[in-house]
Amino acid sequence: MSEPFLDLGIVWTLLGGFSVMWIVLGIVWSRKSKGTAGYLFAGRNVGLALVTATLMATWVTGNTVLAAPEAAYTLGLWGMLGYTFAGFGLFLFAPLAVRIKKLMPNGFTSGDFIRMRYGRTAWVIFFAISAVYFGGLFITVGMGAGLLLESLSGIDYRVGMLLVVVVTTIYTLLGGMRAVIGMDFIQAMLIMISLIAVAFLVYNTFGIQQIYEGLEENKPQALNLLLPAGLLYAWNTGLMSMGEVCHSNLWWMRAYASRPTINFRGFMLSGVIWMTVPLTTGAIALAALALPEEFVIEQVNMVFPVVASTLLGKVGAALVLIIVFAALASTLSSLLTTTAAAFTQDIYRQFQNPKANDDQIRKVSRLWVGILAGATILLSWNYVTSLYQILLFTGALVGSTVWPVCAGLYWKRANGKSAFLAMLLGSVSGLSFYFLVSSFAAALIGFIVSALVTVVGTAVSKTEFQWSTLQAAGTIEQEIMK
Amino acid sequence: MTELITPYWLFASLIWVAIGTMSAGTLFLMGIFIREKIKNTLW
Repeated sequence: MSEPFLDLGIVWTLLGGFSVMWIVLGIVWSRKSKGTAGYLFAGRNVGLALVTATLMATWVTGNTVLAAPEAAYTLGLWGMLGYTFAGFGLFLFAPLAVRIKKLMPNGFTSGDFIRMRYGRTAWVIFFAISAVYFGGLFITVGMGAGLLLESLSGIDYRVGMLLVVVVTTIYTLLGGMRAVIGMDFIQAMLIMISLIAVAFLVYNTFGIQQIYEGLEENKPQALNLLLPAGLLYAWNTGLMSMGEVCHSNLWWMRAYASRPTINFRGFMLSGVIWMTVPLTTGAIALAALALPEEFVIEQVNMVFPVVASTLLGKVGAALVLIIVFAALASTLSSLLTTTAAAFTQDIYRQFQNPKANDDQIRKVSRLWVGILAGATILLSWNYVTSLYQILLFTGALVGSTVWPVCAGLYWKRANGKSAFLAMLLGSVSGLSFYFLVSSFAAALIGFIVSALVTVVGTAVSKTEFQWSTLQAAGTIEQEIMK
Repeated sequence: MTELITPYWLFASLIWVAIGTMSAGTLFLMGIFIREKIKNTLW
């Protein structure tokens, strides 16, 4: 392993200071979090500033900060542009979010929609896909936290992982969605201001002209707009992001939590602002690629910290550490709240206690936050596999959910049988492709097979769904109706 | 292999769009936050 960028004393001061600040804010916000709607949906009336920031911060993971510059360093301009295609997932979801909030103003989860729209059989497979996806995400965030903090600061893998999981769990347990969204705003600001500072300094120090000429001289392929590997990378990234966003309770719960009038703008704006993160970190990485004599890159995934610490010394390294810590915490806290809500609504309320009162729902949600945090620690205790392979594996499954979700929201004749078959056959095809042919296009195969089954199954169907049925989502009436 | 090397003006525009949009986005979010805080419409 290469030398850490910061002394341990500075690392612990920074991490300790931010941890204490986040926990204190969690305590403050917990006082304003009333009832289940307050705890899980921050009151269901969140405004534009907080919605945009929380969407953006949740989508910025440790990967966005370190893997996006790595892509630019490896593939050049298309690596930088390709990563930004993941923002299309948020654009696609903008109109869906409006529709979701309109059809199910009191909805809890994405599982609510699938169960009421398509029935329990389709819901079982949807829930299984979601569980695998979120399991993979928890592992990548937990392991990512340990690995990134170890690389940046030299602290032990398990200590770094535990710190991120424990601090995040405490403020999530205390303040619920309100604390998560409030903290996301602060974390989004930290990420953006730090990135602007580093990027501005890089291009002010060397100038765009010098960096462009350096690329022309040292790595002309980095400027090739027709680079096949880059184009393929961009296409895959965009498609996988659509699969990830479409089915995921992370985004559905934010649609439920936001004010109906700002849902569309919030998702579109967050997509635009999010895209500037890989663009800016990629632009920083291009400077390292153009000027090899200025920056010594030993590990490609550390290109961003190397550039920041070379130009800004310890301040630069500290900024990167803050960005990464904030990105990890914002993603993990969102995962904890939304997955806890899914287990509470889709398992506890459906099978154990359909008439659970407000207090019971909140208590069970908190219990699930704790259980999920414990599971994350256990599953991430040993670093055993490639994080990217885990993401690609989950991509093989989630690609099959895009069409059943979209068709179910807009097409009256979309039905349970075709949705079930689309997700089943899409997942089987995606997984077969993942294991037998290539892991990179598995999401695409799942997406195509599921599209064919959904379209054919819907076209031949004669049943028509009554949209008004969905209005009862999340309420006790939903159970009575069943 | 087919090549289309990015011209300087496009490269420079991309860099400025990236840094400029992020700066504008940050200011915009701060502005909206303050406005919603004053109007008590944050939550």
